[in-house]
Amino acid sequence: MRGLLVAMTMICNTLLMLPCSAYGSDDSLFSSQGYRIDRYRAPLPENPPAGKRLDTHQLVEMMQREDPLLLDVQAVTLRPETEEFGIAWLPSRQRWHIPGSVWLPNVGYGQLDSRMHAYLENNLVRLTQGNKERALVLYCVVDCWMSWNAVKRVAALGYRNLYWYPGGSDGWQEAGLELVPGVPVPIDGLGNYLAH
Amino acid sequence: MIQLRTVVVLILALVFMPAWGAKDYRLKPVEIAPGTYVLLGEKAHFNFRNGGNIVNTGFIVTDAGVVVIDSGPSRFYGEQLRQAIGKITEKPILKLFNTHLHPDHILGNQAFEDIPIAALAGTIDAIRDQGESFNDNMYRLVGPWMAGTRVVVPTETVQPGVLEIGGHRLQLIEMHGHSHADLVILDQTTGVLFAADVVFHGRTPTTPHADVARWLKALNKLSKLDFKILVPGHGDVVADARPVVQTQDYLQWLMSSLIVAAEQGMTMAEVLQLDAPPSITQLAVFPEEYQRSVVHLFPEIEAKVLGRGRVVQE
Repeated sequence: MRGLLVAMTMICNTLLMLPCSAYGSDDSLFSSQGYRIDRYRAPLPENPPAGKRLDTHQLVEMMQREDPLLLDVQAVTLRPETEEFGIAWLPSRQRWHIPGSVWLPNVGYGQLDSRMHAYLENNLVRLTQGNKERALVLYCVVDCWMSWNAVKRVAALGYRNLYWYPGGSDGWQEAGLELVPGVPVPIDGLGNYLAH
Repeated sequence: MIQLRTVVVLILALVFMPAWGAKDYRLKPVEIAPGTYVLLGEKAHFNFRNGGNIVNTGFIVTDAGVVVIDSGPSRFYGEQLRQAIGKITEKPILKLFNTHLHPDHILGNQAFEDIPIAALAGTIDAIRDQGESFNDNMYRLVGPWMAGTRVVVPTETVQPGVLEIGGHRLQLIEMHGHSHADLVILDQTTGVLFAADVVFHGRTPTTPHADVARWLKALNKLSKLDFKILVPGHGDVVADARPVVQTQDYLQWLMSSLIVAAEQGMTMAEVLQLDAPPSITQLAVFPEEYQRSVVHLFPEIEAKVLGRGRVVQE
């Protein structure tokens, strides 16, 4: 019986490109638009909501062949704007990520306010220089639904050459590859990118 | 020109570079009695380096097959545990016991999904209720070691009593105190007592689901059992009852400190600063675990103690 449930779940995941569960209702885990909104750290489905899945080997090969944009969406605390202090990212520890990556935190949350939406959109336009065919690789850490959400959202913004690297910085490290320290792209109250 | 910030980042990078390469729990079963093995965890808190291996798990190779006690903190631990068992015996695994609800004891269940997983009714309910939040939290505490881990609820209810299995007479005892349902297993054939988290040895006991008064009663009952070798849930295995006394001493010190502090009108902030005798402070993870226990236990004690008070207007 358990084996049947597992098989059903896998078939459902593969066919519908949607995460499914034969174990019970998933209503509280996904928004009406199909974004994951709770329990972000949990095993992931086989397929991304759009684009292609990459394992570490495939990502390495791709980086040797072409020049994809590596987008790290690992979440950190966002300090909201107050009278005394401006809005700012507050990483609690040093982020180590794939060399050459751009870190846009929190864009993988299931629901984004208009400021975060603008932060994602504006940075994508800047980084791709308006080219919707630019190869984009979305990732965070292992078993993190934020990278899955991010692929879905970036696809919804019209980007057509998307890749999902579910192993994330953990998978990269597991393969013995070099990680480098990461710094998040700053944000201002309007969601704009702040030049240094 | 190199900016100061770049220099700071580079220095931090050198100091805090993460370790490379593949993870490995490096599980080494130790034979403590004929056919009886334990895998000792670190006397520490969960962290990214130990992957949550802070727990003692064990297994008994009986004539009929293997009985496993607790499955560890992650799917990967469960898989490596199963491999370690396979290196020692080809006999099939008959049953896995989960001693109580805590994540370090149950989140390896996935590796044993094909065999019966048995626990007390109270434990099964608790895992159904809280298992997912434990799973989530372990990702935060140990990160990548948790890859692919999800909760597997035990499939069989343990009836307290004697279980004859492959030539071993296992006494399955239900206790309460560390949690609502603590399964203690005495192998009457070898004299090995798997005390689970009713007993901690050299490591500060944890109290997130504790009823300390019941726990002390359980320890009393446990000390009267006829055992030769004691396997605590955390800490070294010994052939005497020292860890039982140590756990009792700690819990009694903890409760009396908190009660006296409440009677003196101390705030929680002051209670967190209290001194403790060396026999207590030398227990592993004491500072962190004491703080957690104050948070778990002081509010209720304070309410009870102050409930007897009255305001005097002068």
